[in-house]
Amino acid sequence: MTSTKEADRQLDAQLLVRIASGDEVAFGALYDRFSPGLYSFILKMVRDEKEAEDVLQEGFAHIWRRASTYDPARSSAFTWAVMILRNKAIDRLRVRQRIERTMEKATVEFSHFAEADEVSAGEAERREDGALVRSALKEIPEEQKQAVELAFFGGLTHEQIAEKLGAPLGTIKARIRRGLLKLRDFLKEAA
Amino acid sequence: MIDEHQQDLASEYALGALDAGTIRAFEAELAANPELRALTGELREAAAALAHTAPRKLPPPELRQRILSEIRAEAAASKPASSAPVRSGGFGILPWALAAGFAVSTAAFWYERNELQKEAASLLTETQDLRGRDALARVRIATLAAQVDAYSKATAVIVWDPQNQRGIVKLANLPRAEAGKDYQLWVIDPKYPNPVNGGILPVGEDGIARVAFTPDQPVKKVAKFAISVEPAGGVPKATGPIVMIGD
Repeated sequence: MTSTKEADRQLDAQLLVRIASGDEVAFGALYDRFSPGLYSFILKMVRDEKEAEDVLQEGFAHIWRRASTYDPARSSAFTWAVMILRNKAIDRLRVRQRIERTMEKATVEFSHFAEADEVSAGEAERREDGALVRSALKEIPEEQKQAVELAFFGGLTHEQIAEKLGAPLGTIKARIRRGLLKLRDFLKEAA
Repeated sequence: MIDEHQQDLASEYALGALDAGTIRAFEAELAANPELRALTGELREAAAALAHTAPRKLPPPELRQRILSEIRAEAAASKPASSAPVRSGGFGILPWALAAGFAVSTAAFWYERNELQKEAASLLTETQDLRGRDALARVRIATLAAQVDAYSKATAVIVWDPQNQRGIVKLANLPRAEAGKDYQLWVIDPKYPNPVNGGILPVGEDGIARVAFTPDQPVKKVAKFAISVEPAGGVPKATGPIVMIGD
C-alpha cells in the first residue's frame, strides 16, 4: 500500500474514533471525504437521486451512531462505510421490488425505472481508485465481472443471479469467487 | 489451506450474500482461522473498491447540512417522537372541509368483511411491516369511507406512490353512476386551494373498478383522497357531492 493511501486510511480511522466520541467536526470531515464516492455508488445502485440522498442520510446517521463499532483490523473505514450504505440501498431495492409487486397485484403495469445515464463514466477515471478498479475489471472475464457487479451493485443473491443469467448456481458461485479473487490480486499488485 | 468452498463462503460473506445462519457459522470459522480471516478481509476490500467505478456525481450541497442537523438533533436527544398531525384544511371549499372531518368517524368501515377489504388489510400489513423495518416511508394505502348512505356498502382502496406520482384505485360495490355522471377522483393537497384532479373512475355494471391514476398536478402531500360524482367525462374543478373520502 502506498504511503499516501496508508496515511488516508489512518486519517479516516482517526476520524471515526473522534466521531465515536461525539465529535461533529470529525463527522463533517468524514462526510466531506466520503460523500462524493458513496453518493455516486449509491446512485448507481438505486438509480434515483432522491432515494440516493435518503440512503446517504440514513447511512451517515448510522455511521454517527455506530462509529464505535468500527474495527480497523477488519477493513478500511471506506470499506466499512460502503458496506453500511450498500446494505441500506439493498433494503431499498428489496422494498422497491415489494412495492412493484404490490402495485402489480393491483393489476396495473407501470414502466420500469429508467436506466441511469452512464455517459459520465469517464469522470470516474479522474479518480485514481476508480481508474485502478476499472483497469482491474478489464482484466476479468466478462462473465465473472457481470456476476460480481450484479451481486455488488444489484444486491442480488447468488440464487437470483443464477436465475437471471440462466446459469447453474455452482457456476455463478465460481464466477463470483474467481472474479473477486482476480480483483483482489490486481488491487494488491497495484498497491 | 483454504479450499474452494471456503473461498465461496468468503466471497459471499464479502458481498453480504449469506443468510443469517450461515453468517454465524462462517464467523465462528473466521474467528478460528486467521488465513481465512485475512482472505475474507481482502475480498471485502476488493468488493468495496467497486464503489469507485460508479459514474461520479456529487450529492446536493444542502444534504450535508441536513445530515449534520439530524445528528445534532440526535445528540441533543431532542428529536420529536412523531411528526405533526396532517393538516386537512386549506382548500377553501366548506363542504370538502366538512367531509374531511367526517371521515375520521367512519374508521370502523375498515372491518367490513369483503374481498377488497381483506386485500387492503394485506397491503396495509405489508406496508406496516416494511415501515417497521425502516425501509419504507413512501407508499401509502388509503381506505375511503362512504359519506352518504347509498354508498355504505361501497369500498375504495387507494395505493399511492408519491415519489412516482402514481396510484391505483380499487373500488367495489359502488352504485352505478347516474346517466350523464361519472365518478371522479380527487387528491387533497394543502398546497393547492382546490382538490387536484385524479381523473374519472369508470365503474362497471358489477360496481367494481381498478384504475391507475396520475394527478394532473404534482402532489406534495396527500391529506385526503376523495371521490365525487361529476358530469360525465369529469371536470377540472370539483363541483359534485363527495361520496367517499379518506386517508
